[in-house]
Amino acid sequence: MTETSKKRPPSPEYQTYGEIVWGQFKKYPVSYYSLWGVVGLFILAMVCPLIALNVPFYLHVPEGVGPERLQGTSYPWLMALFDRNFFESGVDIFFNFLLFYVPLVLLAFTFLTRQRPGEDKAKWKKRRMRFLGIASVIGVGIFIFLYYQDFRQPYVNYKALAELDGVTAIFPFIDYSYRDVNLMAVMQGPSMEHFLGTDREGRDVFTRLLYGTRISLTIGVVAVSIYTAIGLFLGSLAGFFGGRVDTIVLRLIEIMMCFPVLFLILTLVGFLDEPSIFHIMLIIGLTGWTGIARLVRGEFLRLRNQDFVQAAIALGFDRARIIFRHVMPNAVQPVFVAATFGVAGAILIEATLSFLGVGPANAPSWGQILTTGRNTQQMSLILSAGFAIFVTISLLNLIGEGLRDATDPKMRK
Amino acid sequence: MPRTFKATVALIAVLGLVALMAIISIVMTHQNQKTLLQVQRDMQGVNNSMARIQSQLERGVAVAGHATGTASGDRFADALNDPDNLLSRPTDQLIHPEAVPGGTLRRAIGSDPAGFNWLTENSVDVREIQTYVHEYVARLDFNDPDSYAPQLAYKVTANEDRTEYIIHLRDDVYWQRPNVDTSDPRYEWLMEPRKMTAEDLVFFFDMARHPEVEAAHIANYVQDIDTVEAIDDYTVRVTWERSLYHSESTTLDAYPLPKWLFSRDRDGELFDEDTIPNQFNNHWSVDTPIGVGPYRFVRFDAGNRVLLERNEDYWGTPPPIDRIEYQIIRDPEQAFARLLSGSLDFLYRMSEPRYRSEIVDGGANSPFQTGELEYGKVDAFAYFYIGWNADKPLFEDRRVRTAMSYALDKEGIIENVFMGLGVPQPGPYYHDHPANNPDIEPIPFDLDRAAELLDEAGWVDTTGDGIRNKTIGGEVVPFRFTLVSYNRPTVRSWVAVYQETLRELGIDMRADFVDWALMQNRMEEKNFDAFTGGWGLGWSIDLYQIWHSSQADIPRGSNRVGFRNDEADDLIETLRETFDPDERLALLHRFHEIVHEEQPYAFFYAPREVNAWNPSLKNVVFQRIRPQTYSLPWYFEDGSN
Repeated sequence: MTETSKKRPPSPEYQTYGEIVWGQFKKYPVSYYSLWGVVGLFILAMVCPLIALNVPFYLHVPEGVGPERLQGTSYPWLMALFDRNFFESGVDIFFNFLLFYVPLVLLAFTFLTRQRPGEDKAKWKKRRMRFLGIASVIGVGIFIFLYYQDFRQPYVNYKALAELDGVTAIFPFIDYSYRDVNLMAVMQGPSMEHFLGTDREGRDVFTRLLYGTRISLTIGVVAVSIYTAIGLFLGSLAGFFGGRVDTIVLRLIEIMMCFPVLFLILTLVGFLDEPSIFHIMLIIGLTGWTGIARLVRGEFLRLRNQDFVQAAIALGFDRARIIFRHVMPNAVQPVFVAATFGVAGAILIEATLSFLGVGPANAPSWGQILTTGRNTQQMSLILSAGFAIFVTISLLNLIGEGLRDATDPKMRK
Repeated sequence: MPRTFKATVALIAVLGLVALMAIISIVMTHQNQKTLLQVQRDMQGVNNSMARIQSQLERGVAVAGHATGTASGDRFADALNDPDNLLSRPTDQLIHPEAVPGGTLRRAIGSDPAGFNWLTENSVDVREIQTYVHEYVARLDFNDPDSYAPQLAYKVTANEDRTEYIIHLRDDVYWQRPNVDTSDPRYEWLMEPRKMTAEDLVFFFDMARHPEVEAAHIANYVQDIDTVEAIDDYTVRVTWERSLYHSESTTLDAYPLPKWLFSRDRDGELFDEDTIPNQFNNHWSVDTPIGVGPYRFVRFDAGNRVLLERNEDYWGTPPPIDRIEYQIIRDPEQAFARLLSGSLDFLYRMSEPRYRSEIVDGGANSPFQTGELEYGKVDAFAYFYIGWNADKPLFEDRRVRTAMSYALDKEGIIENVFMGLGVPQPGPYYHDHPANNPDIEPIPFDLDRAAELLDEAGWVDTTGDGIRNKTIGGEVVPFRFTLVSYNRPTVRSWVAVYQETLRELGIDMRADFVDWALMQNRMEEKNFDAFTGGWGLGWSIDLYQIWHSSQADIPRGSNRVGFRNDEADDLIETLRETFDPDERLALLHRFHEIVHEEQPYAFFYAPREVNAWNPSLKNVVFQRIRPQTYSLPWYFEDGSN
């Protein structure tokens, strides 16, 4: 027996559905580069504090200068990244955490998951996926732990400190933060000191724009995840069971679709005392699921009567297994496409809300920068924020286009 | 979307070309428009001279027609020569003699008026609309705010110790008709003309003094009135229980309310006499309020506009402008855009960045340079502040409140965020009023002093987390609070600055930006740590409403911060009974001192407002006292817009 298993011919090199789509996707260069563009945006969002923060990487204060507890050599930048007095929002803490965690995981990924000699390719792939899965779960765990640590430290004006005699400090390339105001430098035009000028409170607009990437991307991804989950769940219920369940879900969808989404969101935000970014995500998530639900329901209706599903039913599998193992994987491909466009839509809705002044108060979101620019007549603000929104939305839409064509068997190249 | 890379590039190139062509065409149209504008301006010049000639002719006819009916007018004018009369001849001329009649004045307000019940609504917007639709017994002279000019009364006399006032009302004043659907037969009873009589003025006092009527803001002014009675159809006697300083202004600022209307339901059926005060709060007629003033209320479209129209039966000189339209525009930028496009004639309070970009830095293309718009500045009779809820443990210590004032960079914010459009507020009075104590300076910006005061008050960062804390009742309380702020770009801006300054001090402040209605609600429920507020001021000072401790505990009272100080209470009460100007001044100075020590508010600034208008609007004068942008003297150059 052992003899035969060793000599078993390698399994045929068939491609999984994912590989086919990926192969097709690569044939659309515009979409392919857009994908890298979005990855670049994510990296940018992660490394913001490396580029711009008013806290030095390295600080040396000689004795007798400045406050006592800061004397000697210290690395305040590292601690500042998790200071909840400074980074109030969980989004920032999350990206700051990723700044360390992602390189670590990638490093481990390349070294730990090399193909072992003689390892089956399918098995290897599975192992790699499992590694990534475990790493993400651990990452989320550490982040939640970090978040609830609620680490805070006293305020220090490092820039004033660095001016003192004998103090050595190495600041990031841009030594402004997205929130520190400066009344002596309000509403300035673009200059070498402030690349895109300053806003009404004297904050550096370039820095705010940079940190705004975090907000926009998070809102897009989280809001769409929420509504995709709701849509998948309700859509699969309706499509698989049909009958009364279908009627109820469909009516629910129709009722939701009666409300103009933007006004519904504006009304909901009106009920909140202090709307934070998370509220906005939640609200977008809770109002946007109808499209996904209808897509999934359609797919389920189509698949339910296919032979493989009928076979699974005949075999007596339980419903959960049929839905999740057999039908769902075949039904999600249009959802991916819709979700990609959805991310772009959610970013736009957030910008709209911030622009209308209902978003979180001083968060550096692009919509806020746009409003400020409009209020203060500063073209540099309007153009830069508008350009950032435009680029992000375009990239996402281009990816969506490519993905749509790649998943369409009739368009195969 | 094209599928190949090359096609995409081509598409982008084509789009670029189209954009370029669009820009060129815009520039060309712009030049054409300029020529057109020039031609239009010339045409307007011709039209204006035509209109002037016409109006001169018309005035000749009008004066001739008027001369026959002045017999009764003289009787009222002669009464002003009576030395006992508290009213004096007005020194201000509200209607410009060369005014050309006609036109609709379109101006802006920031939010929907909450309602039009003159007595129970107390917001500035409703007060302003009231000055057009309704009139008072007498009004303050705009040029000399220490004296009263006649309005509905032609003569008011008082006894020596000011406990009895006799008001003689004009007998030629008719009530307006509520603007209801006249074709509906149920409203037929409203059609007959009704004269304003003494009964209506008595009704005002009855309502203002009735506990069921929701008029808390006025209740403590009228609570010391003993009786109000009609002597005959046009004479009213108001008797006060004791001699009080504010009795004069309270009596003269009264306005009649139509008893014949408020005592009836829609069908004209009389209510039971006892239920009238209760019905008064939400009477059906307040959707279409009436008065006896120069304009009548036409309609209110929620979220859109309030429209007033000239009252053709007005007893006095009719104002030149036909209609006043208050457009409800929340966003100041949009208001300015409408002013530029000509769909607004007058903009009250330009936003500070606009002021900077269009006027301070405005080049030759600024509309104020090209003559498309004009502007003027006026010191608003108001001030802004941050109120601390002294009933919360955080702000009960006056050292904490003083520290918060030290942390507010008034000068810096006024200079840089408000573009210099403001004056630091020294205390509870208008900054240019003799009542201010000359020895008191506004609290300067001094973070070290603020930190010292906080340390003294026991707020020290013992946990090392960068936020000050204090053990209260065995529990460590961090210095963290929410500032309920009015949702306006300017407020957002200065609150952000304040927030960062407080972070340096180790105080975690969050800002909650809400609309006016919600804010009002929170104030009434006392559901706040701190809030951004503002007061409109009156020329004659009565401190009772805002500062007396009794006003801290009544519902809807104005002492929202819970300011309780026994000496201040005594001062306020003494001031009410003091008539001697010098003595009053000394007391007011002492009160200023107390408020300065207690710092119930962080007094912030008195705004200096920049108003902009369309140049076809002429004689745009601003008054020293409120309503400062009273449009009766204004008129359109050619009688229309």
